[in-house]
Amino acid sequence: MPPLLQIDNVERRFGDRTGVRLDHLELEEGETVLLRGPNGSGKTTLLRLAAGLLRPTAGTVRVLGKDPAREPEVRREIGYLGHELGLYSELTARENLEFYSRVKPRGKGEKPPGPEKIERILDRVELSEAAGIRVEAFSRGMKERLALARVMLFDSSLILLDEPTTGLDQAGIEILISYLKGRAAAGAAALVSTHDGMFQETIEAGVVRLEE
Amino acid sequence: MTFRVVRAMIGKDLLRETRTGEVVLGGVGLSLTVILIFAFAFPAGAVGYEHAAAALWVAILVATQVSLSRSVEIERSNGRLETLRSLGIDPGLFYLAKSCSLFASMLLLLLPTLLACAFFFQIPAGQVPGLAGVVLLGGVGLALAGPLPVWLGSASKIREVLTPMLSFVIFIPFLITAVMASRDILEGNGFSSAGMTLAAFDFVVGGTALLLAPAVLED
Repeated sequence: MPPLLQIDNVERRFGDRTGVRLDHLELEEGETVLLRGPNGSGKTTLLRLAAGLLRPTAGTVRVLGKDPAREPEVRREIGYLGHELGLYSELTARENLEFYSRVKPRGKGEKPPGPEKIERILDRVELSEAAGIRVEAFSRGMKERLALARVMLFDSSLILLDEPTTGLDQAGIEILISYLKGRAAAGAAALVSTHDGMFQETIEAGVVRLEE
Repeated sequence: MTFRVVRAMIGKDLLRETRTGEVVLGGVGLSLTVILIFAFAFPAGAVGYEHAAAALWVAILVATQVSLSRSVEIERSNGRLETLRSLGIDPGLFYLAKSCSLFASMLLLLLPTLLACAFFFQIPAGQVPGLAGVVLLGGVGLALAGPLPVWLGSASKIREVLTPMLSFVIFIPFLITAVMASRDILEGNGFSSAGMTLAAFDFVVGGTALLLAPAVLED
């Protein structure tokens, strides 16, 4: 089986500026890697390349041996949480999860996450009581939890999280760590960008440092 | 899968619309204003259904522009499109679902516009169904092809200039045909060759937009 994520000699340029450059990164089953580096070092760009949302200017990105930018079907295996959370403010927390569970492509015979799973995930991120409230009334931390719940809804093989601890309180960070450990035990890999030193100390993970 | 995604998108957008009214209400307000201006622009007693085709399509164009921009902006902002793309949704399917959803919203906009036009321009009741058919055909075309220039423009730093220019290229031949088909209906000529051309426009321009959508929505 090919690695869950393999990046080789990748570079992404935005005009004259180099967004990110990385020689090699490989994630195998059960592996968690933290992406660290100063602002502007390309952490977000690298995560977007890994998710297939950007095409590299040079080099290759492979998810399970496939190019996620050219073969969007492999993105089904990816759980991505970007810097912008992708939530619909006018919908409730529950409606957001219901919408995403309905539109997510499925494999043959695969069942969508049903109402029970949605309630279970909402409970896990401690948003059960706020499930019927519109997201526009949420704090940043609650929104972050809900966006994390969207990732948790699908049993992704490759998890890509961009600064997921932003706005999260200690309880939220513990939920995140517990989720990552659970997915790693189930054979998933995760690439997580973070500036959070406490988070790094708490989670057992390799570290890749990007230079400016 | 196509039907499931289309249904989910329409359900989500209509639910948002019932809470915000931002796609339909603003458009309806503008279209009714345009109809009123045209109705009062002519001397008393001179307003007739022969002026209706122009007023109707100017109203629809103005209202549609607002609805299109809002509809695209909802998905473009806050990383929503990026999140949908990250789930592996086919961009062509996303575009189709969004167009269907836009058309559903536009129905709420087109109906009062048509009724206001029929009222102020004294369109004979017998001609309203035919005119509604032309408006529906026009609505399908605008919903299928209209988002493309808005998406194209939205990725540019000069979107305020680019989007109207791109829209102009797509909309002008389409709108001229729609006006001609409406005029033919109002003159009692029935569904003329202009109506057939409008239907063909829907097929060709809409189909082309669906084919081009993946290239526009992906990086």
